[in-house]
Amino acid sequence: MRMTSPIQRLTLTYIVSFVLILGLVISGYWLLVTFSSRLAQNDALLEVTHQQQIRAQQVVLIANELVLFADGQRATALRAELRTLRSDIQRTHRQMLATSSSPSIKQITPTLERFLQYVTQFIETPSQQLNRDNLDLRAMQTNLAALQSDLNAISNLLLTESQRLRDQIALIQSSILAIIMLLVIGSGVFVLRPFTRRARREAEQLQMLSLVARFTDNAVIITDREGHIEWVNEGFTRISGYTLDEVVGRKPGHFLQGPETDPETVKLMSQAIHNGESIQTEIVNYTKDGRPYWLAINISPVYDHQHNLIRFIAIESDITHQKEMERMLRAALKESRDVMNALDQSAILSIADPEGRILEVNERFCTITGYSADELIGQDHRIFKSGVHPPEFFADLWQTIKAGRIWRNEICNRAKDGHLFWVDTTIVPVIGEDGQPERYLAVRFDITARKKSEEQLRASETRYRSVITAMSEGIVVMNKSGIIETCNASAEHILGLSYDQLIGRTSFDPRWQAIREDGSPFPGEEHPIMVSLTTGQPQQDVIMGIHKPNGELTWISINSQPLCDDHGQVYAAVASFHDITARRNAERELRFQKTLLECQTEASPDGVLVVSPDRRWLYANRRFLEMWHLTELPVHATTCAVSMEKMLAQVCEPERVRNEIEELYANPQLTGKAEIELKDGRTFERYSAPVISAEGEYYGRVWFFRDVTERRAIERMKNEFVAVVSHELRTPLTSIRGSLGLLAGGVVGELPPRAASMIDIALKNSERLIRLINDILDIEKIESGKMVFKFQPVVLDELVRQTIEANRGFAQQYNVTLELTATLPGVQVYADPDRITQVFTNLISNAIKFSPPGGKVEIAIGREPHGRLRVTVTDYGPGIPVEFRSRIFQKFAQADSSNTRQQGGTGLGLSISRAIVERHGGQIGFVTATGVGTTFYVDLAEYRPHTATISLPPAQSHAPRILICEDDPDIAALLALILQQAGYATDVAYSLAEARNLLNQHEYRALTLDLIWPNEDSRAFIREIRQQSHTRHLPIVVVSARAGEEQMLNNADGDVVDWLSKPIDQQRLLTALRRAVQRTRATRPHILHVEDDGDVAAIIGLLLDEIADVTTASTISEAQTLLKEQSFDLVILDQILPDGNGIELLPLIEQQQPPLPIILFSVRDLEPEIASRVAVTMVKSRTTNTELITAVSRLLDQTPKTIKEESL
Amino acid sequence: MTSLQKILFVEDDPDIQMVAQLALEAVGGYTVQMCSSGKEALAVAEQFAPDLILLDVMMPGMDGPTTLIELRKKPSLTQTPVVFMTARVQRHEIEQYLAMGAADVISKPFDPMTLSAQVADIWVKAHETRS
Repeated sequence: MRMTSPIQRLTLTYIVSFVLILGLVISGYWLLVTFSSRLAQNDALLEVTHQQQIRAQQVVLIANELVLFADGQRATALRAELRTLRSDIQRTHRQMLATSSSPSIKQITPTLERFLQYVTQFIETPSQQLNRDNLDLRAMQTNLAALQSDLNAISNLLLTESQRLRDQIALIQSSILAIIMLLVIGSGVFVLRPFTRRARREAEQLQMLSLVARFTDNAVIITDREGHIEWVNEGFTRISGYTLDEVVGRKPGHFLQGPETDPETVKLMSQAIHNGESIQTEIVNYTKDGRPYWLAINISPVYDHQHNLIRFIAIESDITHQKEMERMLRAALKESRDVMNALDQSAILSIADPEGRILEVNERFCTITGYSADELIGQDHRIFKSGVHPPEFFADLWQTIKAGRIWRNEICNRAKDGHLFWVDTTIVPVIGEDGQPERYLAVRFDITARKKSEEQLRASETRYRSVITAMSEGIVVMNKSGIIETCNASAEHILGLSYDQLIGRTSFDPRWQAIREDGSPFPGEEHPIMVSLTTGQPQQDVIMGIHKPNGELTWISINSQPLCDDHGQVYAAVASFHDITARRNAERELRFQKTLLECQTEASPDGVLVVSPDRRWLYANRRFLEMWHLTELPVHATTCAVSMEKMLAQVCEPERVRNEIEELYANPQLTGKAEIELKDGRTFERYSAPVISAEGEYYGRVWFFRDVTERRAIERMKNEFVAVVSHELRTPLTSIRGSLGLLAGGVVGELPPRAASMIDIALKNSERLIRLINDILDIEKIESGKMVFKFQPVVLDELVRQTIEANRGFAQQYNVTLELTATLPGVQVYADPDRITQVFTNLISNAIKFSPPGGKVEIAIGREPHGRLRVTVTDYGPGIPVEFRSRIFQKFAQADSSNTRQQGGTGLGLSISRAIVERHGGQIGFVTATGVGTTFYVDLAEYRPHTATISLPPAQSHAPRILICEDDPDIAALLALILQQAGYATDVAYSLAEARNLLNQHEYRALTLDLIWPNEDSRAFIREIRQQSHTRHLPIVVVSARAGEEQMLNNADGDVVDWLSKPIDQQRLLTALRRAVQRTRATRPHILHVEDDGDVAAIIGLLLDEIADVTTASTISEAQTLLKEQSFDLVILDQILPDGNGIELLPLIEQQQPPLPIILFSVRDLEPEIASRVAVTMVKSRTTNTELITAVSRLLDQTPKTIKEESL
Repeated sequence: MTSLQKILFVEDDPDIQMVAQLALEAVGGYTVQMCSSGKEALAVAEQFAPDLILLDVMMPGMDGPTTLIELRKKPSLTQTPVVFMTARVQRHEIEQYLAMGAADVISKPFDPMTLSAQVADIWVKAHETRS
């Protein structure tokens, strides 16, 4: 290969460049010159063109002049001038054609020639023929225009051409300048500096090369072109053993090659050398001492500058060791290939690059993953990610293999079709030369099946473990040595010991303090688990008491089971047990209750029998058996049927009794009371009630039999006595009264005046005695509850009119007139007409008696709030004396005995009237003023036949009523104002007497009391209030100037709620009253009953009348209004209402302060969410009256008993 | 019969007999046949042919109700108004007597001055009811 030195190449490059640039400059110059000349030519042409134009114009002008003005001489001159011009034009045009090759010039030639032709014709035209209409002149003029335009076009073209040339010239000039500048700069930069640097570097390289050649491990041989050695380096000597002197002039092949040398290689080398080519090969050579070695040889020909081959240079390196390694590697590779094959057959293999991308996979890999090899190569291993392992798992994997360590674990992967498989994976990092892993070989074995079975095992173990953990039963496992090995959480809980405390204990541990049911110690070897362990027998339901570490005695019921191995040998025992302490306690309590109940029942004077729903005897006390003469019958053998027949055989009306009993059995909810007459003369009172648990379960029926023979006999005797007495008294009275009446009536003749007055007295008193007997009989009947009322709708107006008429005669005796001042025709009340007449008669006769002679008694019927009707009887008598007002309704109460005698009353009339009115659900009262008169009133509920609702006792005005006792009218007015603004109703008593009167007439929630009264003792008044039953609990707030000192002296007795000084502290007064009213409310709660069925509402109203005030709402909207307007203590709620579900009211009820308890009558079971918001749920058809009353009482935090006491 | 004239009075108490007879005869102007027992009344009643019978309830021997039943057996007395007189003014008793066919019940003691008027009223009412 012929080499030229870089310097030469560089120089050459420079020269070529210079020549090129020079050429460029020269050609530029040439162009410049050419363009300049063309430019000049153009300019000349332009000039000429202009001249031609002018000339042509002149021709036309002269022609015109010739036509118009020329005379002979002038015409000749003009003709000559025309000729000159024509030839000028012609000549110039020819010159232009000659100088310019522009085709446009040629194009105008025809136009020009035509023009000139006309000019010639014109010139030659004789003068006579010359005129304005000369055709030639016309043609000339016409052609002049064409010529002018052509010439103009030419001149324009020329102008454009010139401009272009000028631009090009400018461009060329600047290019030449730029090239010259480049030449100057380039020569400085590129020619001089690299030249010197390269020269230096080449010298250094040469020196280094020679050093390398000398000191390299490789052998370097330089031969001449024929292959004779010229030079070898030390490396050659080291490898071959020959020195330079020994080999100079020799051919290497002759002494270096030997029998193992590959002839083919030698031949190739010879050929290459012969051709002067370089060759690179490996060959076996022999050392001087005959040892073969492998060489890698590189022979290159060396050429001089003239490309003549001058020598060869061979560089040899000893590759014997490499060759050996190669052989070993091949062997190893073969071996590993075998291993790989084996692996390939058995394992799932993949190779990945350091980033985890798959480089190679085997067939099994494809099979298990479901991907083809093509899909996998280049993919990241993460495509198999199953999501089973946490990120830390993979972090550990990568950390391990990146550090070059082998990682092994079980991996769950996801196949292409989504199914998961488990592989035991070993990842071997293949470490590269840089010490970093360059490949990862992953070997996997499919362990999915194993994993699955492991998973199943684990699941079932977990299941069992969770079952055991969750069991409420305690589980303890004891090993063969009798030591507790394990236990569950319930065992810890029941035994009160922690797991650690339990493990290792034996049944002999004294800390158990185990006892039997009878209290005797429970020896360790008899513990059921020990028994199972020693005998191999299971133990059932063994009761054992053990003491917890805290000393508490716990009773457990134990079952134990031995665990046997395949040979039937017991190797452990399991005990399961549960805590029965509560059950035992409950049982004991139940036994106690049962004993108590039995004792009570046995001691009862009543016969008690309890019968199951299937009519078996559950219990009968001794008294029952005695009463019915059943003691001979063994109780356990007694069936209801047998005993019932025996019992029925003893009664007077067996069929009636049987029917009653059957009816009760048929209707479990019924309670019944009846009297049974026995053939032997005894009378039993029979009471029967269902036995129903709090949950509503029907257990059967209880029967009570009370022997009332004696009581009935006494009652009969009493009745007979009263009847007899009344008869026996009346019979003589009949004679007395009759005789006196006849005497007084003058039937037997005129009496002397004194005798007549005596007879009158006797007659009056006999009449009084009769009334007295009648009233006593009435009172007796009322009090014994035997007064029978026959309620029916009654037209009040008619009844009152009749009563008035019946009393007119009596009124006339007193010279008193009766007048019905107001009435409501047709209004009805539901009443016993006889009894109500009795009341009105009593009131009217009283009014008559207390009217002054000539006076008037006014009777009126009017309306009151809440559907009440009021009948008033007003007299204008002296009024009721103050001290008598509070006692007026009491028995034998009359203002004084003289008055009684005077008026002939019995003192029982008002008492009877009040009793009758109250039995009608009405009220009786009076308003009186001393010296003015008295009005008695009777309030009764109006009866509305079409609404079919039973009117309830009056709904009271729910504004709490306060009595103000204050003698100063101004202060009283102030107090009334304050209290009314706070929402109370008020009455004012200006004297204590008036206060007493008002207290008797109305029910007050509290009273305010001034302490200083003229001539009256307020302390005595307080005592008086406390002594009276209906005012015993009335809260008193003292408002007095003396409050402070009085309080100091008297607060000990607690009669007064609060003591307020004057001037009045409004806030404190209201607070005190609010407290007081709340206190009284506790004794008389207010219930809202939401119920659309009038009958049910009436029944419940009556049921709860004793406990509370009941206000009924029949719709949700009505209830909402009531809840907003009034305050309640409890709500009884029906679920089904005309305008929705009662549950809708819950939020509003819950908003009340404080939230009200709710009793809900539901038709079915409630959702838990609703049930949790309701205090008590009841089912209408299944709830007894007693249950309802009990529930209401409980919710109002009262017991029925205390209510009863308070209400009495 | 257009007016009340003859009254049969059955009463065991002689004092009351006297008072009543006086009251009815002197005040009312009626003809009164007095009997001391139910038996006696049965014996004389048909012959006397009263316009109205006043009958005491509590009598020894035959009491008022029994006497009424027996009286009604006599063909001429089936329609004669019978008024019971009793000291036992129990409401249920009154109802019982009315149910038996009594025209009314007068309670004892009675007002002798108004007895005649009372009886006359009852007779008129009974007469109207019957016709």
